[in-house]
Amino acid sequence: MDSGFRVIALAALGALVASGPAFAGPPAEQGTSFYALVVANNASLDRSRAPLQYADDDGAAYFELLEPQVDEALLLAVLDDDTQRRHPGLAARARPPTRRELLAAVDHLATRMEVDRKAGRKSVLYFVYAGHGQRNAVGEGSITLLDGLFGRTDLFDQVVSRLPATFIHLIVDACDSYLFVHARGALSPGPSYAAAITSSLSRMELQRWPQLGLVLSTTREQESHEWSAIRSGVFSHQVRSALSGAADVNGDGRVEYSELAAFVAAANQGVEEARGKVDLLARPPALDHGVALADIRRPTRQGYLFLPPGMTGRFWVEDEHGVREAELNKQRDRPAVLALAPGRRYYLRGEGREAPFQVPRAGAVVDAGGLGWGDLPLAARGPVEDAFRSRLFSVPFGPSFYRGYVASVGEEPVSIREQLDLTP
Amino acid sequence: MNVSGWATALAAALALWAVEGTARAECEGRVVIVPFDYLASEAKAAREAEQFVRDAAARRLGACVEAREATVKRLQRLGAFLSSCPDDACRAGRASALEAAAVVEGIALGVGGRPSVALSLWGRDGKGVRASVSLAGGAAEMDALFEKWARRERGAGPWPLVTLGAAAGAVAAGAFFGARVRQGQQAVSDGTACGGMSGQALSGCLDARFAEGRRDAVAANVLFGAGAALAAGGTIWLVWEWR
Repeated sequence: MDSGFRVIALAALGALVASGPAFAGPPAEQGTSFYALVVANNASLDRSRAPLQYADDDGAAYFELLEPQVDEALLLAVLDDDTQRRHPGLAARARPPTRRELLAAVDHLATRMEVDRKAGRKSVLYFVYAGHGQRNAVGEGSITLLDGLFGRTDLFDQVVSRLPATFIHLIVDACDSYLFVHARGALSPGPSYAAAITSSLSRMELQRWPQLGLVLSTTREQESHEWSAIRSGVFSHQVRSALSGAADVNGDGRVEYSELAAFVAAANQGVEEARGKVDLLARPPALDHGVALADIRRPTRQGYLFLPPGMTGRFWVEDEHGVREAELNKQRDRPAVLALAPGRRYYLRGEGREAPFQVPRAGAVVDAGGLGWGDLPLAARGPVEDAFRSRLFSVPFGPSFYRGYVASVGEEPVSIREQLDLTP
Repeated sequence: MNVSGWATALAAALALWAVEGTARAECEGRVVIVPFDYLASEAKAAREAEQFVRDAAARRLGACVEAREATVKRLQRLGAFLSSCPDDACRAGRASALEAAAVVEGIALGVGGRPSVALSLWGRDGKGVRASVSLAGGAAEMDALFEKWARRERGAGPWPLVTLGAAAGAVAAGAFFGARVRQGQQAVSDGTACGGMSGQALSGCLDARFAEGRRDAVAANVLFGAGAALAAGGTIWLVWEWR
């Protein structure tokens, strides 16, 4: 073998080694477009009910969670001063939550979905609402926009029927699901908004729209609560945590409806007071009960925090502006991954300690097992809030809780593998 | 010793350290790679990632890496031993139970459409290194992790401290020459440098003392400079080894 040939052969070998082996990649979902329409409104149309404080924060947080995962995200919200400070740059992208803007957004998305459909692509929409809910003049469950109510009939006639989406994930956090600390804005006697809307969603209607999946707060208490510690509704905080990946009980990278429901149930398991409990209705689209609400395997513009086996207990992630991004109570043997927006400083916090970290770029994985921990300064908090804080997320979420939950509600469970592959 | 002498000594120290490091990287105990788990991925990807890591470990650690079959048999004998370790003490116990000088655990990740592996390597004391490594980026990242591990295992060694010692020596020598310059300058100023001489003899003596003073001043400056450079290099080296 002459030396020239050897050089070429070595170069080729080097290139082969440098390129690495071909690994099994994630399942291709190239043929699907994702969209998000987030509507949030602090205002109340009823003079007897005070405006909410954190519905706009929830809208901003939902938008920032979904925006890196979808092809286009739209935000209809008026962000207050504090929310604009905590979510820099977002106000410029938001439109007011009025009927006209909502219908224009639906028109825009319908046009894009029609293009997708003609191109043979599927389309998935997240339609999120955070704000007051009430019943309109005919007793129909409605969400509150700046300029009026938007009722159940509007939802089906003006939104669902006009969007040629393959799946629509409808997430509604109306007033009933806002919990604690600032109790205000009692609804008039009668079924709560969420109960009204769920009872109004007749079996026939849901069968008519088999592409529609629901995640609705159905808290029995007829008051509006917000938790100032997280500047959010508790329901929305828990749902966002689940969608970040914390609810992925079987580690397949997908969060299905039953996993989200069990995660929220576990997060509230320790809350004994009835008025503090969050209840939800999570119903997957009739078309496919196994459709994922979130899939962290998909290529997105997010980074990831990996919590390895061995880490155990309650953890939450806050960003540099104090926005609590995700929270979970982790079982020791179960690894977990949380999807986060890149380019920001974060703090992973647990009981009495914190570890700063940064997600440098989209796709980056930060290993929480390698972070440096320091003591967490104790902020002064009221006793009521302390009690509540200690009860939320007090129960570890894992396969055993999930199995018990799905058995109790009669849902079909996701498959969970038990052991490492120990074949030689 | 002049400046080139110091540079030669430093190069020799570096070479000795590298040779010693290579020698210590020879097999000193069993490396056990626990079959990989997976998250947001699948069993096939976990096996591929494990093989990728095994290949990298074999490149860096040679015959020390135990075959998967042997590790599986060992784990099956140990039964319920596979629960996760929360701290160094538990990890040290696991290394001991596996009769391993080093244990490697990994979880294949498939988040964001990019296959990666979260790796944890630790030794008999339970201390080690962790990293999440992209599998699409080739072997360099993995080799760097094993190198980091090997560096941590063999410790910093004496050479960073030797370099800092050399820096101190250079500064001391510079101070000595500086003092001599100062002493000579004082003697010339006091008129005691060439006591009793006059005329041509005095002129020649003073020229000689000035030339000697210039040499000493240059030596002092060079030694101070070299000392500062060695001190900076030694400190960076020490921090690099300890990180």
